Amino acid sequence: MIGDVVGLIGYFPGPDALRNGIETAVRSHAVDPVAYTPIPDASAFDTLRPSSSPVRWVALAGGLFGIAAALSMTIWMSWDYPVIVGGKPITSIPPFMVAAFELMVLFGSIGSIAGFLWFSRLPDLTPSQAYRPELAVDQYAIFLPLGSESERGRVERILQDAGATEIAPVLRSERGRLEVLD
Amino acid sequence: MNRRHFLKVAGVSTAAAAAQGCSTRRGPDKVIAYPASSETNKPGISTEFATVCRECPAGCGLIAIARDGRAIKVDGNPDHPINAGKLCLRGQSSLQGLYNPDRLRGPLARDEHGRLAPISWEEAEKRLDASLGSLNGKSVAWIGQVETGAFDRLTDAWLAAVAPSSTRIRYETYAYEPLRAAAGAMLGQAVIPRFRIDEARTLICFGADFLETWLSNVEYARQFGEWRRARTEGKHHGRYVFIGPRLSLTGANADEWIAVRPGAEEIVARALSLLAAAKGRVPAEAASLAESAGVPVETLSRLAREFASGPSLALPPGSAQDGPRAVAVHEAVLRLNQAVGNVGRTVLVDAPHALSTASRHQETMSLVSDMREGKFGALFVHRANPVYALPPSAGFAEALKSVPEVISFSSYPDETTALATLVLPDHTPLESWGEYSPRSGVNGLMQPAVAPVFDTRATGDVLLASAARAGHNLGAAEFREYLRKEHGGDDAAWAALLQLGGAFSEPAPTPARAAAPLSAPSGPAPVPVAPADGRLVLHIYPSLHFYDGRTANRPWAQEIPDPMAKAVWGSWAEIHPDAAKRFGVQDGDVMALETAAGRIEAPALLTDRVVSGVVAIQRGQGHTNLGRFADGIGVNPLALLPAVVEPASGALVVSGGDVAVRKLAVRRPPVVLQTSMKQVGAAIARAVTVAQLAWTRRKGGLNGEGGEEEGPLRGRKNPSLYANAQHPKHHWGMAIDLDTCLGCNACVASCYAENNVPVVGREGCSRGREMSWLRIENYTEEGASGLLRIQAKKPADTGPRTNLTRFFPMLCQQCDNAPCEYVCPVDATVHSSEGLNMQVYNRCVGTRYCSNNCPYKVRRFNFFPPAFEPPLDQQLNPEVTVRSKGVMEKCTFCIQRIEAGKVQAKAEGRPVRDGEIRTACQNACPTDAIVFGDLKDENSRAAQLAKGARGYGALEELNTLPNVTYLARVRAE
Amino acid sequence: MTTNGAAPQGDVYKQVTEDVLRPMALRGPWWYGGLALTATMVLIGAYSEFLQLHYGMGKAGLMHPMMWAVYITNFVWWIGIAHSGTLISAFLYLFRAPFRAAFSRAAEAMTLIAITTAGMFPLIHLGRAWRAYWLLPYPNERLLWVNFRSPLVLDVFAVTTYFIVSTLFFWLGLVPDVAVVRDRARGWARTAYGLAAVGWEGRDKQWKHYLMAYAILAGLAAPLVVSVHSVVSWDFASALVPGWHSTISAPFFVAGAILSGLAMVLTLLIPMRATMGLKQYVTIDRMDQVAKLTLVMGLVVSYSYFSEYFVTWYSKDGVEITNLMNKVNGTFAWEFWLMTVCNCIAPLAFFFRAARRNIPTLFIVSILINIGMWMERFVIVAGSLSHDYVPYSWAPSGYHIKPVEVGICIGSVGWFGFLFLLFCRFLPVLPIAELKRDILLEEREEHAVEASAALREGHAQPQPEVG
Repeated sequence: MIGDVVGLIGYFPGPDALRNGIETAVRSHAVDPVAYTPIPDASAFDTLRPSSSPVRWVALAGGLFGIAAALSMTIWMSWDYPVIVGGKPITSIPPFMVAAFELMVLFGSIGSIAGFLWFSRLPDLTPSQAYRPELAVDQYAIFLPLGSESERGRVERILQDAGATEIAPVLRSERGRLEVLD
Repeated sequence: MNRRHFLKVAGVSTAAAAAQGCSTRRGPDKVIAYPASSETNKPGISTEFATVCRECPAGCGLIAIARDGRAIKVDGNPDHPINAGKLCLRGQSSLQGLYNPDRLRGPLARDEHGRLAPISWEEAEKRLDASLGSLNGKSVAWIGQVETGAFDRLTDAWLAAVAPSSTRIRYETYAYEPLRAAAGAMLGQAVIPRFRIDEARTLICFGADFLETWLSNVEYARQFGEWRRARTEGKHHGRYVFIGPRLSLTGANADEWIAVRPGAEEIVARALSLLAAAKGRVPAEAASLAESAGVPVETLSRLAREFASGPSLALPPGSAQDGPRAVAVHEAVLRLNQAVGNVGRTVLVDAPHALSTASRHQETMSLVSDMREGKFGALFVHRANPVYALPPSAGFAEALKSVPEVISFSSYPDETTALATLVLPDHTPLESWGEYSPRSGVNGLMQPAVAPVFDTRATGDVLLASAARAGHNLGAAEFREYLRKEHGGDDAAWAALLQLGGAFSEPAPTPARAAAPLSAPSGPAPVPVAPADGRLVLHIYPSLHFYDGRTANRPWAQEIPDPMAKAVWGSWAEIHPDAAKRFGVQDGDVMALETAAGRIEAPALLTDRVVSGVVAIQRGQGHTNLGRFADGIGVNPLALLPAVVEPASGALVVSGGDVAVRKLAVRRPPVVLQTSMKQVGAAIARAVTVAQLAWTRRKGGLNGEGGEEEGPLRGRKNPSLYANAQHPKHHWGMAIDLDTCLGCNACVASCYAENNVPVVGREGCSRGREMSWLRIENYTEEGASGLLRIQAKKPADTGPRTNLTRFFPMLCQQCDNAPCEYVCPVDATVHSSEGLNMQVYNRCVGTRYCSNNCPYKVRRFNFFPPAFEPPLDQQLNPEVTVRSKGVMEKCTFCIQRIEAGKVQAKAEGRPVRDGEIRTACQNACPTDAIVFGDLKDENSRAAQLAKGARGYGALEELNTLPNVTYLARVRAE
Repeated sequence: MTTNGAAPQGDVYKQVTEDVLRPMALRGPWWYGGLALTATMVLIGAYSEFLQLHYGMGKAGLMHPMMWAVYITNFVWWIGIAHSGTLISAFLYLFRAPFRAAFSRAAEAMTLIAITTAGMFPLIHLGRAWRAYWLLPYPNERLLWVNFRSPLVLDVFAVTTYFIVSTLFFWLGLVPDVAVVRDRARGWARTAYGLAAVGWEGRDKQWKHYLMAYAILAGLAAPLVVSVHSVVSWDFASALVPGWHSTISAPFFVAGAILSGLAMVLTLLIPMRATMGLKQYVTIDRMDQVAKLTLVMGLVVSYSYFSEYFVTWYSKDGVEITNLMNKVNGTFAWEFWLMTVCNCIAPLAFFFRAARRNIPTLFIVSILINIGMWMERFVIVAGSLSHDYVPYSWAPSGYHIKPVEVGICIGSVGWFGFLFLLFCRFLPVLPIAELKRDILLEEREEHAVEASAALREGHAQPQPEVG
């Protein structure tokens, strides 16, 4: 029965409480803490994960690809079946630049979306075991996974210090995913 | 026309004719029997038949191009002395006469319900014999157009054979009785003289529309073109002055228009002859005459001086001006010519025109009274439509009722045929054998270009057969044989005649008569007609498109805009803005015009191209029974004419009467395709004066100034980031001479025929959807840049005017930097390596962006699927795609002809010769104003002309690099 | 420790969610009625288009020389409307504008729907619409590609890109909110929303990448908006037609687009906030702020008009001038003056606070601007074409609009309304998470202010970390 406990989740009364909680938890070396909040509170996330998101690099790559694709397409297609049009040269750079810009934006955007999905391991339609619908509305929580039963006390203490108003064990059940695995 | 090709093919055309034309017994179902494909009749190879155009009495030579048994195009016969390869709009439209959907399918006869019902030819012949058998002593009347040669003789022979007695009317709507009468009095021969415009310097025209319908419009247009070209080349400094109450197309080509009230022509002519005789002095009588004519005497004396110096020509008034004193006017004009010794030089009686034999209106009227009195047992009508062409007040239609048998040979259901008891439809000229000699020395032979489209029979055959049945042998069983016999000679000679298109010889030169002493004019000088208030003087003028109305059922004639009014599909009454003000009439208001004889309603078209006392209406519309394209379109102004005969010549009095004018509450503006006759912002149609031209020549000759390649009218070269288009082999281009362009629409009609351009009808035209690839723009004045508003200045009335009109043929300019090309998303319009701007119909998706971006607005969009009502579709040119709904189209420089020319050259292993490829418009142009050629070849005519001092590109400031070069019009002052 | 603040706080945030989601449960007659009405309009449009396809473009009032008119006008008009959406959310997001949240969701939805509407017109106006796919560079047996020099092809690129990027932007903004909806939904709806929410749980890591992606998208969408309408303007500017061929076109068109977009936002939000009980979120202050923005854009547009006419006059170019005069007091006069009144005069009302805060006034002015902007495009498209270089071919009169064109216009409006009604019913009309963040930030601000005040008074105690 004990072995079914995969971790403890502590609930916090509000965003500010959550932020303070996160800071404390980090200071007391919590292992793989995961915060749940319906409110995007950048400052809190930064204390939890200082490194900035790599999504932007994916976006950049996408943008560059877009430019390359557009230029090569327009120029190659113009030469593949060259026709004299309005006395303009076959490689008419000015109009081709427009296509390049548009595709740059297009693939840049696609890149950023792809990056977001990839790095946050989405899409993933099976909810994690700690998740509760209220967490998307007005509840704020920190989940700490348990490596072994022995850690339970320490972890519980960390959550109390962090100011959790309610602490509940998260049990392994058939459905749902173990948080630490992600 | 490619001569070699022509000789090669048409040389054997007798056989072809035998195979195609003569099989009149063949049913209309098959156009051609492929198994019997003769050597002139190979699938996909076009055959050219020399024949004669019978759309009007001018009798131009035709080359009918037949392909797979279908006539797809007619051009002028280059060997024919009258038109030398040119052809007018009416001639072009003969194809739509041949394939007219309203043509009679076969013989008809009145049934018991009094309706014309189809019958078989056997029955028809029985009916004919019956009507001839039941004459019991009564006479027979024949009304037919002027014929010469075989058919003329056959008609007489037949009438003599079958009828106890007969009256024959050689009916012509325009029979020029006053001219003939005057010639009889002044020149000793009551015939229609020959005029040599090209031999004259100073040219005075008292109203004859010699570029439209007068006598022989193509011939005179050619001569006039020569005259203008000679002046432009500095060979003479003559002026052309037009005198009359309305500025016709012919007048619009003048250097000066002396606008006078109707009836004043004679006064001016008298004044001029006095002044000419007085050698510089101004006799008091001349001054008073000028005064009463409302023309400054200085103008006249100057004109008289020019006229007296050197060869000149004064042309008489046109049939529109036949008033009560018609003969006197014509005499006055001939006297003027005599006074300066033009007779024998530019006025020749050596070869009278065939029209000299036409019956006078008088005779027709006496025929009418005879008909009323029941003198005739039968009346035959052949290629004439008197019920329409005579004023209703002449009572021809009523008179017909008292003739028991009215037999019509008409190919079309016209107004006269509608009243016939028996209809034996003749072939149209393009299906017929025959001959026509417009003047002695010129005898054109007609041979069929195609097998009969419907179950019709050559009237010649019908006559011969009926004579044979009555036991008379007129010498042949079929008319073709009859014709052949008339000419004799062996078959080779006959074939040669046929391939040449007839027997031609110039008349022997007659000695010029010395300037005769000025003979006294007959009677006192008239006073110009002044209308009572509430009335206007009626001016009914012949139509360039419809002649007397006979071609009104041809879509091209209706859809191509009138050269002056630029209106289509209807009638309009031209009145002067001042007069309009008097009657409170706005442009487009319907006016009721009323005389004792009748009443018509026509929309007003305000223009200062008529004098203020006149209301001018064109003849030829308002048909009731000619077919789907003509019936109910417009009005027939003849309804207003009392049937008055001018005693001295027996002509119908057309002019001088006045009409009561009333404005109606209705507005029905005529469909006018040209929105602005002023050039406002742009300077598209340009002109130089003779003086400027001479100056330019002195400066740099024809190669422009300072060795520069192009003339001074050229805009400065626009700098460009890109290299101009390269043309490795050819660089097709065109030079259009605005100086010799007469605005006669022949090129437009030719383009319609060659390129399968669809007709959209009145509705389409009224919504700006006409499909014409080539249009003649008509501008009244110089374009001034930077104009904010057009100041409506007081319109001029009577008196002299100059800088009259500029005609501007607008077609695709085939720009090297074509604005239409780069905006097309799918490359449906691209530039060829030969400098052509090509439209790829089957790639076009119809964004219409190209049309928006074309500064010349020459691209045409198919808003609906094109309609060619059978059998009109048989005329379609198989070399040209018929465009589908939703695609753009435009002038291609007749690319099919270009390719054919290149293939020909390649086959003969030689380079393309300059002038061997001719576009359709170029072919038709009576004055060779359009020259097509390879600009890459320095010596091609097009290239030479393009480099000339008058050359400029339309809107070239937009850097479109057009491949069409316009040569500025030349003005006398 | 802020336990005491927790409960009310929680309530506020819960309240936000409830308020925003409530409309999704609404099934008023106004909604079904609207749906029925707009559906009928769509059918009318479809029938008109059928007629046009069957008989040919001749069914429309198009004529030589006015080869473009109503359809292209509609295209530009709808594209213009499509602009405010992404523009408002992207720009205001980048500028951290506080009132963004009140409009962004509705505006973005409007953008998407407007693009789908606009996108139909280039097809409708084709002479051979069944060949529309030829505008795409796809390998074909003719070995033909497209002409990349043609502004129309660039349009295809720009508009398609704009549609895709706006869709992504819209969806990304929706993810956290859709997750809430998912958790409440049952059955197929749960599956559908679940798919849309791609398993969002609001975990910190998800949020981190989410925020980055959203920022980048906003950064890319902002210039895209500008570029798209510039490209549309080049449809005209790169042609020779007087009245089109002008370098000011791009900024001029963008300004016009923003103006019409803002007007349309007002036109849509005013009924929405009334019927959906969102008044406390889309407050009158928010309206006021949009009205100010509208006023500014109205002035910018007026200035563009002025400078264009000035340059025309200054050029002394006869063709340009006659072309302009034909609009001012020629065949396009009433369209021209209607445009001027609606776009230049009407917005001036927003100089007055009372007008900016008076709902009826806001609504009327917004409608006027919508009309005015349509007229502007019509005058530019048809008016300029009607009177160019060759006097022979000038249009003799103004443009005569024909039934099929009216029908198709009705259809497009119906289509827009239909989709927008569906949006109101099936998606959260305001960005929930963002509203919450705004509240949070506000409170923190107030809290900080209090704290500093207390410090200055000198008897403030630093709060203990843990209670």
